[in-house]
Amino acid sequence: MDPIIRVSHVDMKFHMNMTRTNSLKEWFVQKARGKLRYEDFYALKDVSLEVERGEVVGIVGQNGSGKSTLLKVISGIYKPSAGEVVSAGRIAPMLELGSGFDYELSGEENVFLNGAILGFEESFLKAKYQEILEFSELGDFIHQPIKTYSSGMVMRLAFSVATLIEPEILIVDEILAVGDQHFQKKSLDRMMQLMSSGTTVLLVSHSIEQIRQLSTHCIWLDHGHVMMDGPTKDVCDAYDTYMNT
Amino acid sequence: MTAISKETVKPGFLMEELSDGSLVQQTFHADVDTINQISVQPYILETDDAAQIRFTLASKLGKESTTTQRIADLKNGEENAIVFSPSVEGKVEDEWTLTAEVTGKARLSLYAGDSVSTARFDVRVQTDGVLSIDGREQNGVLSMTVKGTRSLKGTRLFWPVALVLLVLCLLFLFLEMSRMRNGRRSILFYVGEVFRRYRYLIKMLVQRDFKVKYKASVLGVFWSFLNPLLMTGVYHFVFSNLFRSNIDNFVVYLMSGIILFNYFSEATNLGMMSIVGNSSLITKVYVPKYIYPVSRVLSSAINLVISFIPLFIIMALTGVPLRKSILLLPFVVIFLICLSTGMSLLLSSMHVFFRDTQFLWSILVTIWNFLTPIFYPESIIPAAFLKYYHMNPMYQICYFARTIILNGVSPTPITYLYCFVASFLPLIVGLLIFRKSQDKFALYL
Repeated sequence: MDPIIRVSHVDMKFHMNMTRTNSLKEWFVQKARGKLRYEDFYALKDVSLEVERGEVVGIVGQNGSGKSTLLKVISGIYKPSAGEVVSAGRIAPMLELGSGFDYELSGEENVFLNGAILGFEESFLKAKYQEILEFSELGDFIHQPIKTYSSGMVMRLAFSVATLIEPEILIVDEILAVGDQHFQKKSLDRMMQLMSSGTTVLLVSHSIEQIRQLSTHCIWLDHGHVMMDGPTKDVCDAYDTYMNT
Repeated sequence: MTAISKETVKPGFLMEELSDGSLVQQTFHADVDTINQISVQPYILETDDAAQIRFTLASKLGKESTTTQRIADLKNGEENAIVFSPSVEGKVEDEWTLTAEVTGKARLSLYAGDSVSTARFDVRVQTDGVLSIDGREQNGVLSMTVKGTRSLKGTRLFWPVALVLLVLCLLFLFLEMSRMRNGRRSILFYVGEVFRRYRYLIKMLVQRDFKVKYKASVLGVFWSFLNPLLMTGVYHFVFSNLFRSNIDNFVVYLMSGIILFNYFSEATNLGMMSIVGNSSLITKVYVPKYIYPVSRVLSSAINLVISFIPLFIIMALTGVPLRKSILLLPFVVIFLICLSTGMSLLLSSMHVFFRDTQFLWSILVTIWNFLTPIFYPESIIPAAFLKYYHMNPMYQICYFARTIILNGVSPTPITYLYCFVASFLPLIVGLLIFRKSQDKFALYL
């Protein structure tokens, strides 16, 4: 079977602007002085990996090792400077909850807006709406503009939209447990359920325990390079040893 | 098909004084085959109640029409419309003769001039006519505005232009087909695919923009209605004394211009901010980035369509009949949407890299507003600049819309072509620039 995600020889290069130009005038002035210098910074260097359908892939690494950049490259937000990313399914990134919300609109309107942004059709969202409403436990507040919500309520709604729509590929940057203790437990259960239900998951976490528990396959990134790619136990053991010495 | 033309000889100087029995004769060429109105500017020194001036317009076809006016009724120093009923038929290439005869106790003069300011470059009044008073030849020609119609029988340009367009369309389709057959992604196919797949998202974004816009206001959508009315009121109050005499139905002229330009300015402003404003989404979720500016332009278009309603009401109130030509209004909407989308794509990608763009654009859009005949007649532009003046896409679209609304006829084929170029060229340029720079957006947001 073809892999659902194939990343081949991807470089992600950033220009580190030595002279920050954000205005046209500045740019011209700096250009004229010949001071427009860039320093290249590689967040990812020659990264290759394959993810099979239904796998849960854990990505470990220190801060600044390129984990989040890799997720952004895979979800299509960054275009790699070299190499190629091919993905064969609908990706739902769970990078930051509620980033597609409009605070003037009601909870209900936001469910549909956010669902549309994640690439779902109207009929599908209508079918899922009741389930989302029940999971979020918002009740009649769903008809109020969400600027009147407490931050916990916004998070509950965002979490419900992001996890109840069953994407083919789910990208998770740290497992999120939101709301009060009751909802935290509920959301954690929901995440576990999603991951064990055959959805392909890319999971970034600093909690090595979570990775050990959930993932079937693991990748260790270090300064933009793939240090190790293999079964979860081997990679996590090696990473633990490296971190503790 | 008919085109209505209005042509003016600018007043330059006063001709010699006229009194009882004076006979002024002016021959001229005009690009029309029926004339129904000629305006002249008298300068009245003195008159009694009975004194009259009799205008006779004659064509080479032997048709003529006469109108008599009391001199005391004429507005001194202003343009006075002399209406010929029935209107006089003639030929475009033939000469016309206008005579004015003064009877009674009066002393007056008429303005004359030697330069033409045309309201449109494809019709001309020629200054080669002869002006004479009591048979003595004078310098210059009578300062007059000729209004007439020209029927466009077998218009020379229509078929060649239509044919060229058809061939181009076929060629484009053929190229696209062959690209698809070779397995390459064709632009047309790609655009169609994006629209099909993200139809629902576009719909939701347009709905959001529209809902949020009037969410907290008491009058809500009614503002889309009220805004053009109030703007027209203000402009009318300020400018009516300056320009009214030269424009028929100044209110509708003004309002149509205001509505069109308001849309352009609103859509480009919102479109420009669409990428930076949605940065939290763009850095988190992959969505083709075209969708953001396009959805903004489309949500403003709802406003545009709503604001046509007060325009129709004002038209009805000022006695402009609703004619078949109004069915051509969707062309105006399409041209405007294309132009605004092109500008929005260009501006929004510029704005990502240079945040000065928004300040620059607010100035540029004001200048653009003044370069478009919104509240002044085109005839105040010196003839030497007209060539450049007409390159303004908004000018072409306004002209197109006003021909439909005020004159009640279809614009000339060449105007369709100009509008087509004026709206699709910016769209293509905007698309190319956006496509080239969009991959870098996420890095600069």
